[in-house]
Order: sequence, then structure tokens, then C-alpha cells
Amino acid sequence: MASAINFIFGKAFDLLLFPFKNMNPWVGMIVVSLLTALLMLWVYKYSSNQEGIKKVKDKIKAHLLELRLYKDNFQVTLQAQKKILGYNAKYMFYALKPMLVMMIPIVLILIQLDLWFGCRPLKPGESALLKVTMEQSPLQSDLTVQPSPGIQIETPALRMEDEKEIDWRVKGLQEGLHALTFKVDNQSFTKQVVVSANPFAKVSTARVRNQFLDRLIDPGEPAIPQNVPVTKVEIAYAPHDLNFFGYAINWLIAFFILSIIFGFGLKGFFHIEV
Amino acid sequence: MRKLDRREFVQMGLAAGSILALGNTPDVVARVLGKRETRNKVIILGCDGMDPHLTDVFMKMGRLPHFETLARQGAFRPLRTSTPPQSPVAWSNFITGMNPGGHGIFDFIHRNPENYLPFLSTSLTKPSTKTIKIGDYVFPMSGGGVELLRKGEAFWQILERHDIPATLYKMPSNYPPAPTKQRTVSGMGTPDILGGYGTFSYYTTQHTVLMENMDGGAVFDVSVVRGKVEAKLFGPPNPFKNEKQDTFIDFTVFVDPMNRVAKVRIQDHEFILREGEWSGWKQIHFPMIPTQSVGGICKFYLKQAHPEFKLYVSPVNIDPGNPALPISTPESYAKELNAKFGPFYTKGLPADTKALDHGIFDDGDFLTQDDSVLEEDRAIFDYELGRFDSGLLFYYFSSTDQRQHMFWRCIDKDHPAYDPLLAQKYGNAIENIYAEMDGFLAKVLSKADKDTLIIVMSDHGFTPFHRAFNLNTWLKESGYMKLISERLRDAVYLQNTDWSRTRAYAIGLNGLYVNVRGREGRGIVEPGVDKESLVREIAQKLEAVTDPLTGQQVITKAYVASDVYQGLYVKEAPDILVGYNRGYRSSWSTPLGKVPMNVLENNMEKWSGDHCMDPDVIPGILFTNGKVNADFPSLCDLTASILQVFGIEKPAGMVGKNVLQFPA
Repeated sequence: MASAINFIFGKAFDLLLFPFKNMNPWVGMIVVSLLTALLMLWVYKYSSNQEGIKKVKDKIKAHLLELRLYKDNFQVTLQAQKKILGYNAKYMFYALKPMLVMMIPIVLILIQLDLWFGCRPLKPGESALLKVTMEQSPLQSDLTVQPSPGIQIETPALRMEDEKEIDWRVKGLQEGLHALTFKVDNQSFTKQVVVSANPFAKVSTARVRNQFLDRLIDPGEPAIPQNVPVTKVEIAYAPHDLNFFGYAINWLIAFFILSIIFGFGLKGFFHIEV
Repeated sequence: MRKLDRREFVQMGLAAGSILALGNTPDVVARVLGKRETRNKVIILGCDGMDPHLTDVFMKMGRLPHFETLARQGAFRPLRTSTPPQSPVAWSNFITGMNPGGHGIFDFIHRNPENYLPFLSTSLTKPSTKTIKIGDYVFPMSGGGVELLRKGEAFWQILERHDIPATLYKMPSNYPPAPTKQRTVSGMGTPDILGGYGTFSYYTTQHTVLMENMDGGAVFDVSVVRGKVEAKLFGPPNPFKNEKQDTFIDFTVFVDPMNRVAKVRIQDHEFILREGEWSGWKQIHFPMIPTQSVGGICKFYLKQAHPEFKLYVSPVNIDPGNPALPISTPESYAKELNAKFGPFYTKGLPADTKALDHGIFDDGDFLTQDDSVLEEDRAIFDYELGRFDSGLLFYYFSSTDQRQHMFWRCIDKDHPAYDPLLAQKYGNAIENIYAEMDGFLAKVLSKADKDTLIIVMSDHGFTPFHRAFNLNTWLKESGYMKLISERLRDAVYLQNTDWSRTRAYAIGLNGLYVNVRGREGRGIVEPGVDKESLVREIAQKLEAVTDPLTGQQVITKAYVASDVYQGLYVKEAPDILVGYNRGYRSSWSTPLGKVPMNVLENNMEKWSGDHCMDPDVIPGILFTNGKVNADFPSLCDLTASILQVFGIEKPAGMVGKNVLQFPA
């Protein structure tokens, strides 16, 4: 199930963002935010009670006017405030259903965006931590790792008994999509490593076991085979912030701000009550 | 054709407009964005401690071809240093064109005459004066601050008044940086985050190296339990707490049971180090209260993983990207360099000589660390030299000084700490750093045009430090100082001194004070004639001291402050400045106010070369492509000469005189 979702969403975002790979990351971010805003407006339109929302908003406006007109009449203003609170609660109730409907696609979009915007690839010559989490203590394990030509394992294995973890330090040598091959208990599997001077690329930080939630959160690579005593392989890529006139902005903040701006900007055009 | 950027386009447009408006005047200067584009330019390389004798030797060996070229084209002279020849004093002479009587810096260490307690001479940190206490917490209601104690106007402030741009990278004796719009980064005197001249942390399972009262570092006894070391990295005292407890950060080190490798996990950082490997800079934050923390940067060095665990953590430097204390003007300059090059050493003298002295580093470790300092210097130097096109550029190098201090024992067979094996391995450490400076000069020579004055200078030279003189012990044996107890001779800060019977005392590296009534807190010598005659008497006796081991004169000249200083602050000076002979220096106990048993002792420390001697025996260097109209110019003369290059007359109070003719 998780694999199917990952496949569909992954391919969609690969197709969507591929044309912007060599452009400023803001271009891709603006396009995705715009499309997300359109999608959310569409979902909102068909999953919400548009008539009810319009009525409730009109009522709130009317009672706000009442507050201003009868500001000297304590009893009327009190009644008006009570009504405003009541209609606000009703408005929030109307908003609940579309919010619940939107939540799932939004989370899936965020997971895919994190692959593209969350981290940047290793620069050629740059090093990062490689972490392998195991089922048991790693002290007796025969796990080994073999890099493909574009990367280098810089340190011997560091085994941490209590953490059930083995770490190495890897270094990117040449640009490209490379692989680390792990061998353990006569089984083998790989973990991809992206090396690029371009900070905007799809980067899978972790490869995980086939557990539904884990796979959903780390969808960048196929699941680790079940018969291997490894639960997660992770590379600590550097986080990637968007540059906004010299200020580093987290992609999540940029995405939400842009989506909200586009959403509110376009709601009138599509005659949608929000 | 090169494409102009917007700034260059605006500058050229304004400059062209100015020229048209002025007409074709012969010595045109264009006012561009508040700064003049000067025809004459000055590039100064400040190589701390570069010695004329060694420079000459290395030139003859062919190691300094570009120094030879510069000497041939212009001049090479010994440069008269300050009295005393200590870096904060000497660089202050150069900065202000005044001697210590004018700028008020007489030693690394000054004393409070009220209580005789020592303090660092160049800056003063002032806490907040108004606070509110709530429970265990203290909230400041007014800002504290850091004050530069050097008096007098810096020459780049004078240049600023004449709209001449200047960039000064790590000028010593300029922390906090003197207020200016010029680009400056503070140098020697800039503290680490603890407020001192640098405290490293060393975590080890090797209990034998634990040392109490280690100056410049702290050693922590740790254990490896199930492959894990839990430790604390200490930060500055928490100003928000009543008790001012030290702040700290917990961190964990994971050590592989077999492989010589470890992983450090501290705050957001996780990194693996092989044995003998250094980390890059790590930004850390010491939490104070939930909304406040103090940030800094440090490096980790895994000296050994097995069989003993040894981890060195550098002094926590002020983070140039987010400085907790002022280190640059404008404030954005340090941030600009940080954004371009990443974090860099900001502590005044970055090479950790204390770690080498205490045996935490071996010689190789020290050189590796100092090489990393030089690497940062090189990157920023290339950037600043590349964009220099007007006014003045000053660039400072500390490695020349630090390596001569630590490796003199490897080139001097007469040194008590000489070791032939080490000499074979590290005997070229000093020669190599001189050659590195030649590399920097090569870049300057290729950049400079006919209108660029090049100056390569040092604040003082270097000599061996064979024998240490306990000045307070000599004062005691000569009857000028009395102790409360013979058993407490190791007490610091003169706390064992019987002030009611003491007529003179020493504190700092070259300073000797008379215990004057009305000036000192418990003074007994009457000011005026009594004091003057005592000063002359002590000076005369000091010059007569000979070393029973060698028969050599220990002190070539005891300078009386009133004879050698001019200016507003002469009254704050030590009464006598002790000028030691080559091979002699005040002991390590003297600046701390201790009174050991022996007057003279061998210096067995790795700190084996020095310069706190008689200024006459330890001049610095001056290389320039200009003509020098003096055989033995001084640091103060250089200041007046630089101003003259830009057509500025030296201000009143500046004692130096113009000795340069440029173009030659």
C-alpha cells in the first residue's frame, strides 16, 4: 500500500519538478505552491458547504455592524458578541470537513517536497555521516559496506552497542547518483548517495524497512529486504534552506506562506468561499 | 571585456561625473560613495615577531626570494620596537604613533594600584550596573560592555576623517575595535567566549596527566562505559543566575571497541573523527535562560581513541557569524567574512601554545593546528588583496610569533630544552613560517602597481629564552620586598607581601613599581625625591646583576619610565621597565606576583624563544619599496610616514616622524 502511494506521488513530483532541476529552487517552490493552492481550493469547493459558509460569514459581518451601530447599548452589544461567537463556531465546523479531507493529500505532498527541498546533495569533496540501525547489537555483526567509485568510505566502522548502530563517514568524490552496497548475513542491499554541486535535487536521506508509516515518511527508495537484520540506513545530508535576499528560509515556511498567498489570491477568481 | 557589476557601474559613473565637474586637474581624487579613491595606496603585512637577523639568514639561504627583491627595490631596515618590546605595547605604538606614555599600554598585564591585583591591559569588560533579582535569577536592566583601554586615535580613524578607506585584518591591541566605519577585525587581545586569552578543554582517561591550576586549559577525568563517554563542555558564567554558575553543554562521545574512531554528539552536531583527526568548526550555544543563550565556535581533536581516550576541544571562540561580543567594524564585516569563508578563528592568538606547553599537544599537533590558522589567513588574505583598490590594507599574521616562541629550542643548541631528535624533526618550523610569509609577499608584489607602497613590518624581533629571572625574588633578596611568610612564596598576585615593609614590587613581564604612598593602596615610599632616588638606585643595581652560571649581565638596561615616555598617561606606567639581555627574560612566576626561591633558573619550557627583553637587542623588521631616510626608524615613525603618503600631517601628540619617501 505504502509502496503504491509512494510510487504514484513520487513519479508525479519527479515529473513536476524535473524541468526546474537546473533553475533557482524558488521557481520549483512557486510552481508547487501555486498548484497546491489550486488543488486545495478545488478540494475546499467540493468538500465544504459553500452556501453554509457564505451565510455564516454574512451573519458574522451583520453582527459586527450591529456592534458598531449599537455600541452604546450594552444589552445589544452583548447579544451581538454572543452571536458572533456562535457563528464563528459554526464557521469552524464547516471548515473542519474540508480540512480533514485536505490533510491527507497535504501530508503526502509535504513528504514528497521534503525529498526535493529538505536537504541538499553532498557537494564533491564533502563528507557526511552514514548511520545503519540494526535489529541487534552490532558488535557481532558481519555487516560491511562497499562504495561505488564516486564515493569514499573515510573511516572504519564505529559500532555503538546500546544504540544498535554502526556509523561511517562517507565522502562524495564525483557528481552523480552513487550507491553504497551493504553485505550482511550473506544478503546484500544498497543505499543511494547523491553528489552534486547543484543544491536542488531529489535526495533520499533514509532507506527503511517495509513498515507502513516508516515507508510513508521515507519514500525515496524501496524498502530494505525483510530478511536483512537492518532496520534503517541513513545519510546525514546537510539541510537545505531557501535563500531569500541573504536570509535562509526553511522550505516548509516558504511553502505554507506561498500556498496561503496563492490560495487567498485566487479564491475570488474561482468564486470560492473560504 | 569584463562585465561591470551594479556597484562598479555606479562608482564609475559618479567618478566620471566628478572628473568632468572638476575639470582635468592633475591630482584628481574621486569622491565615491563617501570614500576617496586614492592615487597612492598602501599595503602592510604585519608579521608578528619577524626577526631581522633570522630574516637575513633565511634570505642568504635563498628561502625568501621576494623579501630579497623588495629589499633590492626599496629598503630593509631593523625597526625600533617599543619599550618594553611586548606585542600589545608595540602594536599600540604603531596604531597611535605615540609611545606608551601617550596610549597607556605598558605591558600585557597592568595592576590596580589600590589592591595590587593584575588585569589584562588592553580591554575591560563591564557588567550591567542595574539589575533586578527575582528568586535565583538576575535580570540586567542596562547593558554592560567592553571597553578598549588603549588611548589615542588610531591611524585608520585619522584616515577616515580624510575619507580614505582602510581595511585592517586582526590588528592587535584593538579589541573591542575602535569605533570607525573602516573595515576592521580585532586581533590579539580578543578573548574566547570565557573572556580570557583562551581556555582549551581536554577529556582523558589517562589520569596521570591531570593537573591542577593549569593556566590556559582544563583537564577532565572521564571514563569509557559501554563504548560511551559522557562529558560537559563549560561555557561562561551565567549572568542571569545569582551565583553566576558556569554554563555548560552535555555531550557524548561514542568510541568503537576496536577501531580507532569515535563519534561526537553535541547539540545538533554529530560527527566521526579518526584518531589524530580534527573536526571543522562547530557552532554551539550555552543556554542561560529559556530565551537566551551565548553562541560560540569550537573544534574537536581526537588525539587518541585507544588504549587511553584523549579528546581536545579548542577554546570556544566568538562566532564571527553571530558575535556575542564586538569583534569587527562595521559589525557586518565579520558576518560577511563568515558568510564567504565559514567560521574562522577570532581569538586573539589562535595557536594553542598552552596546550603544547602542558604536553596536551605534541609538536606535530601544534603545527597542524597552527597550519589551520594559516589556511584561514590565506583564504581571507586572497579575498581582501583581490578586492583592494584604494586606500590602505593591513593584514596581520600571528604564526610567525607563535612558532618562534615554541620552536626556538629546536634551532638553538645552547637552549636548556634543546633536544637533537626534535631539532631534526622540527628544526625547520621557524624557517618554514618565514618562507610562508615570503609567499604572502609574492602575492602583494604581483598585485601592487607603481602607486602602491608596500610595507612588511614586525613589532619586534626574537631571541632565545634560556634563563628566567625572578624579579620579585631579587627584590626580596635585595631588601626591597618583605614577605609575610617564607612558606607561602608560591602565593599568587603578591598576596604574601608585607606591604608595610615593601618598597618595590614587580607585576607584568617587564614592569617594576615602587610602593608609593598615596598612589598604591598601602604605599610606604614618599612621592617625589624619595621615590625618584629609590627608582634610580634600583635601576642601577638591576643593571649590575650578573648570572653566576654564565657570568653574563642579566639586565642590559633598566629604563626609568619618566626618562623614556611622553604623554598624558606616563603617571600610570611602571616606574622601571626592565630590559633583559639576550637569553634572559622575567620568569613565569613574576607576572603572577610569585616569589620563588631562586633568582635565576633554567627555562625548560617549550616556550623557548621570546622578545620581552631590552628593546635595543630585539628590533623588528621593515621592508618597503619606498625610500627610508633613517638607519633605525621606529614603529611610531611608520605611523607618521603612512599618514604622509596620503598627504596628511601627523596630529599633535604623535611622536613619530616621516621617514619614508614614496615613490622612492
